[in-house]
Amino acid sequence: MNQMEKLEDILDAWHKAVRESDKRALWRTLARGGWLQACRTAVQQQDRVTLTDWLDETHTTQQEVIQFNGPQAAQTVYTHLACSLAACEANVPTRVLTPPGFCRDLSLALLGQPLRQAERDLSMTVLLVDTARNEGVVATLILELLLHGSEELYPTPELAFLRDDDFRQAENHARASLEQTSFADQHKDVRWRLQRRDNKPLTSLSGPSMGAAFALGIGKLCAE
Amino acid sequence: MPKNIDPPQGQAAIEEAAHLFPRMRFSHRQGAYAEGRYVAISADPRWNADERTFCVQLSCLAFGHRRIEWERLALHIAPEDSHNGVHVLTRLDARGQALVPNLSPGEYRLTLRLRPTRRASVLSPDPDRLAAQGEDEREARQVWRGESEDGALWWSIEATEEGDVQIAFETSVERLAGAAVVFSLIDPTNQQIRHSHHLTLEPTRLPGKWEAWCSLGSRAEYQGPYELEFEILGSDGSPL
Repeated sequence: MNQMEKLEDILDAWHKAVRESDKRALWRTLARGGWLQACRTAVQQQDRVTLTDWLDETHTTQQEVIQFNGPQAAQTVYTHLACSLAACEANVPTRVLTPPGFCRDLSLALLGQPLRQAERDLSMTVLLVDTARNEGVVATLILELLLHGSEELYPTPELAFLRDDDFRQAENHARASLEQTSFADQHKDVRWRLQRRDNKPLTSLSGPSMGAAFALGIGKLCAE
Repeated sequence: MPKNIDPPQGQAAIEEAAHLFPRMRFSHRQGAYAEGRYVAISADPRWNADERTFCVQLSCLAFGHRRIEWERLALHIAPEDSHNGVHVLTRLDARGQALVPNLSPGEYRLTLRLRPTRRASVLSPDPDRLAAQGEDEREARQVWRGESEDGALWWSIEATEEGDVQIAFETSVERLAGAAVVFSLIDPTNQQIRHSHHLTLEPTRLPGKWEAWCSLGSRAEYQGPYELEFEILGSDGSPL
């Protein structure tokens, strides 16, 4: 399936996807960078009208697309659209968007700018399981400590849609562990990224097993 | 809209055969024969040349020169101990015969389905990769599609870009809402069932549409080719 360059491309592809299985395939493409690219194009073109249409709950087709993959994924789409609109309109401060740390980085990514500068970072080797190929995959988990935050743990924008519910829950549990550390009152965030050693793209992140690596990494990052 | 299907000719003979088959048992040592008012059925086993497996010729012979539409009626061959051994799903030809080429020694029982089934070849092996193709190049999505005999149910089976195999059945026909779809992936060389599963057609987010789908697992485990065969069952287990 072709990469989605614009929000209009998503609507075109949706209309062509007659079967549910084709809609799932379209959503996989959107999750793997399609939403980010389409929103980035809308920001570049200052296309407030289209972004507003997508956020308007009376536009049924757009809502069908957004809601197709469940409420958690829909919320991430709304966050992308809202950050895009905010990036188009200088008078809407990004701090009103939640979660604030993720939205600040997402807005920067949508504007084509570097993400927030990390105070320090930590790399860990982790083992992933490529369930489609039944093989283990070595990857690097990078945790970055960011100033002026609110104790958020969040991924880089490219990975935002790839997490399933179990993965998100593990992330939430690890974030909760921040509350037990000296990190809690320092108004900092932790941003994470994950990269396969073989440089193949990540296509989905499922299951809770990354929780231990998150908790361990956050603990080390805070202790340094 | 579903197309109308005329009942096969000689339905009484087919129904009688379906009644007789489950009463029969055959093994590598012993064939089987049964007859009723309209039809005689038999299972004739022979050792293969390897002397470790055997083949079996299955025959339905209608009395009185009546023309029976045996073609594409599926015969399920299950080991007597259904938890051990392979299951086979073969189909009768127009003469009411089927040859199963390769069975392990043991005792087997038979079930005849009353309606002709459609088979489609799916999950054919990947074409050879070009030498210049990068190791990390993402695979293309491969999709096989079709529909039920009456057009009421669409199916698709796909190998996703990530290498996951997924199967989906979809309908807009309300009478199929909540129905079960029992599907099998069959090895075309020996008619053995490689995978069999049972799904339920459930409402999608869109009104007036129902879908059953699941992930079968890694493409690495499904090298193919296979033949897909399925039947739609109502809540009482009878074919719809």
